[in-house]
Amino acid sequence: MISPQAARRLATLAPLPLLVALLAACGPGSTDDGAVETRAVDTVIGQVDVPLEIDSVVVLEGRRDLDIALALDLPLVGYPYEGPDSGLDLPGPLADELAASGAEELFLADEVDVEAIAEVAPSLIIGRLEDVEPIREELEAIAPVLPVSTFDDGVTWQQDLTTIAEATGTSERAEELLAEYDARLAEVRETHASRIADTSVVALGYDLAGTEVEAGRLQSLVLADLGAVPAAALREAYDEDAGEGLGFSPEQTLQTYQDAEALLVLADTEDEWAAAQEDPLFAQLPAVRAGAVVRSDKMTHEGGPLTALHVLDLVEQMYGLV
Amino acid sequence: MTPSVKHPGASSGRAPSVGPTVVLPPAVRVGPLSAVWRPRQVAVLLATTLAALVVATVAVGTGEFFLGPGRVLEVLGGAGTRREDVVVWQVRLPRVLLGLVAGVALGLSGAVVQTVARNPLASPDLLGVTAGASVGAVAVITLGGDDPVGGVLRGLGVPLASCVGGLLASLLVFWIARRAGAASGLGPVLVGIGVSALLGSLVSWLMISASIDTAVRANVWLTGTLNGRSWHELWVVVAVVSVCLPVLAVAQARLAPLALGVDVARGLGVRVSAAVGVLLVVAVALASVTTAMLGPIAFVALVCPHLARLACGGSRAPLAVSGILGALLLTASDLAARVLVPTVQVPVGAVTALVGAPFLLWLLVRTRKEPSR
Amino acid sequence: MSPAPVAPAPTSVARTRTRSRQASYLLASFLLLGTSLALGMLVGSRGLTPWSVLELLRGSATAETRAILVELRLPRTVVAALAGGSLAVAGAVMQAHLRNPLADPGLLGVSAGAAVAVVLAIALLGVSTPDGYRWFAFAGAAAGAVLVTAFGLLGSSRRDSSPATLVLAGSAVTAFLSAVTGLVLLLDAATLDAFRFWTVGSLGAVRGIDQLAPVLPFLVAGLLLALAQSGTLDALVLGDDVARGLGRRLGPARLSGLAAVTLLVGSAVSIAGSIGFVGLVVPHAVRRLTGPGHTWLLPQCAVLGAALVVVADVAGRVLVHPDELPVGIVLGVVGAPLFLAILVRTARGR
Repeated sequence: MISPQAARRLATLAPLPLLVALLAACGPGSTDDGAVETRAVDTVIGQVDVPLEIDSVVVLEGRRDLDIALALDLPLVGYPYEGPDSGLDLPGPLADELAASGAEELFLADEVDVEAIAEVAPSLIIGRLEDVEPIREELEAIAPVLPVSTFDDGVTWQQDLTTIAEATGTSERAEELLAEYDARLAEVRETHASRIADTSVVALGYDLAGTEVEAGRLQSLVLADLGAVPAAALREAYDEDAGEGLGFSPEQTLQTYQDAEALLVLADTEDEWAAAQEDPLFAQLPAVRAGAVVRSDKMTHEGGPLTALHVLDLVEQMYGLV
Repeated sequence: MTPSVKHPGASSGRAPSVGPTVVLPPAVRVGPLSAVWRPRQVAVLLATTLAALVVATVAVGTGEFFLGPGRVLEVLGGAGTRREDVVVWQVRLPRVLLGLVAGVALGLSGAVVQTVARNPLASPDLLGVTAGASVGAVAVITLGGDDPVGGVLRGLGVPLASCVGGLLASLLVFWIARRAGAASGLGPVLVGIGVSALLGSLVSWLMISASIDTAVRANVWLTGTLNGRSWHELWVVVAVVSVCLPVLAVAQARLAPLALGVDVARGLGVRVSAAVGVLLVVAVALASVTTAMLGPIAFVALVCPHLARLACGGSRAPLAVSGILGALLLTASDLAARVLVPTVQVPVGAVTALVGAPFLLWLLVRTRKEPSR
Repeated sequence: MSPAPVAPAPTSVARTRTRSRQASYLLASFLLLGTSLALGMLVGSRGLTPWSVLELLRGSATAETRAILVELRLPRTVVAALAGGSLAVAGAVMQAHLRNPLADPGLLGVSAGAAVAVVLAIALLGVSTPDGYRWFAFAGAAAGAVLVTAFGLLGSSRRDSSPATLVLAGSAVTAFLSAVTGLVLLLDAATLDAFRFWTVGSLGAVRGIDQLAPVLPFLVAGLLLALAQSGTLDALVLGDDVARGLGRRLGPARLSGLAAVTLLVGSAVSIAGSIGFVGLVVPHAVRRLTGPGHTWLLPQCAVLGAALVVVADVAGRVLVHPDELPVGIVLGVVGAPLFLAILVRTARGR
């Protein structure tokens, strides 16, 4: 028994879902790109057809994707930026290459702006998987999307580099980069052989909420590649599931890293680094008292060949202080 | 004279025998159906629908680059460039449509709750429904797994869990209010504030212990936002709204007698408990699914019924006008949120709070002038 | 026995007995506070033996123990105690002035006002040192208190106004100010930690006791001002007319109440962020112990409020070990049900 009023009201509101459905049904006119030759490549999100001619590339996250795009000399036009208020005061590992590329800052990191990307109209989008997934359809409507992973997903930067090089026809360059990294590893190993064998090290992230060690971050991975001796905290972190990481409270700072003889400290902002210097527990660490501490920040948590080489430089610097 | 009136206002074919001093409102008759002609309400309905559509069109045109309303319609018709197509169809249209549909849900929810509770300050966000829905949604998100199966479960589970959470929260509020003997007036609202504070702390606890407290994202979700919302969220809300609308259409016939009071309604033959139960479940479902998809959005459900009542005259909030006003308000707020600060995507919940809170204060000042219940 | 004409005035013996009972309650409260302070020093993610505090006092503690106790646990415990004490007293003062059993600096938007003022100062004016933004905390607390008082006094002129209206207005104001704070923090790309500190209240980032020293004079001034008002508050609770009849001048009374609340809430927010429910729950609990007389109510509120926040901080450290729940969230989970209980009792009593 629907009253006439109800019928009237229902009639008013009913078109709304119908309108929505109608609009969705008549989507945009099929944009037939027609005769663009493509290369098919298998990725974690399925098969992606990448055009042979790549005019412009946009990256979404700013670390591994940006690194690989720059390292392979792809024509980068847009990338995400860490805003001036983010507090990062160290120059990023990719700063020089970025400046040379002439690409523009499109949107804040963590807030992918699909409109800005659409405006630039790239021929290829490279992005971190977790940034791609929620907006995958929107991105694929603009350009083919190549995902990169993080170590948490079990994919190393070398694997991603190879995949993307294969997709963009730059496999030769990828080979060179991998060889360069291996050569550099061997060089550091040789120069600091005795120090590497005798010094226990760890890469720890420091902020006001405490410290953390994560085995999957690039710094820890480079240390493992080098054959460095892990301090207790790093050993524990390697045993943990990838991606979980170990967190410690401010009170546990001295106890946790007591056995490390050299530290790579990741402090994002100037305030956090200053807090570390003033932290009495931090100051009592043997590594800090010996002066064997090098600083970096979250921009080296993840990356590709260029960041890995940068981290290797930092690690060499750290061993030099031992 | 006829005690079994089912449809107040509907005539049964012959004029009821009333005294000569009573003036009946004009009736409209189309075949077997007839209804009271309320021109003002129809006019307001048309006007607000038109306004909502205009604002929606402008909103679709607004973003990195501006499209005039005419151009928007052309793009929707399929005549846009590739770039315009992507931006309009993939980014802006789903967001604006979601704003419209979610606004309708909130407006309807608020109107139903206010009428059933016979309380001008009753609204789902003040009665703890929004907080309960947040707890349900966050619990599923944080306690659900990361694997693909967990992902699908989460896709189905979040709206359902938030509806359950909202329902449980509202039951808790009414139970406590009844125990306090303050089941009318400001009692339930105060209890709602307490319950919302408790549940809000629980949400923060869940987020912290699951380490899902990455700076900007958590803060923004807790405020309610349309950023990054697309077709998926829209379909979920449309699904729930489409189920609730027919139920509401049938049940709302009981709203008029209920607005006169429980005793009067019973005297008119309305099965009060069943009617109240159905109406409240619908209201809670509408508010909860909105919270689940957009995050908690405050004040829309409170403000729209009042504005609707002011616009249409009359003593209770008309449902349809309230719903459309909700659509208009939410879409306009989202538009304002987007253009307010050029570089940052402001969450729409912040704008509704900035606008709605002063409205609540004004409402309190006005309510005080009325005799306390 | 000769018949006594009317109920005899309390004899001096009876008065002493009452006073001594109250004094013993206060002593017990101090003991409770002492215990909670000890808990605050002894409980933490780096387990320390109970003797470590003794070692510290004797000077034979290790450098690590000294660093943990003196730099981390002592400051945050002291901050928790000071903030808790001042918010509880501020709540009692507000409840008396507004004649509203549901008044609380957090619920009524005074704390939120202080927090917003500071956040705006930091974001828009670039004030970065606590010395600088403390003044904004006071200004914000004053603005919030004035707003609340105005609204409350408008209502109290009507015989049948309910306390609920004020709370509702306060929640509207708090929602508005929280939106503003959240907005400003969003624009500044600040971390969630800053947001948590200013709108929820958290002690995780407290380092070193130096930052407390500048706040102390204002806090103590607020406490003393409140204590000095005890008699006036007793009279105000009975109603404006009665208070006037008892010879209290309302204008200066309101002003000094405003000043006390501003100093107390502003100090508390600038060191601990915006913590809610303490000012509501503690006076109610204490009133059941001491009765309505403010001479004993206020000191008890200070001591027990301090103990409550210290215990809440300790609980926050323990519950999600080694992570940490901000003290404002613990108080929300505990305080909100107590608020509901108070509500139920108040509503039934009317």
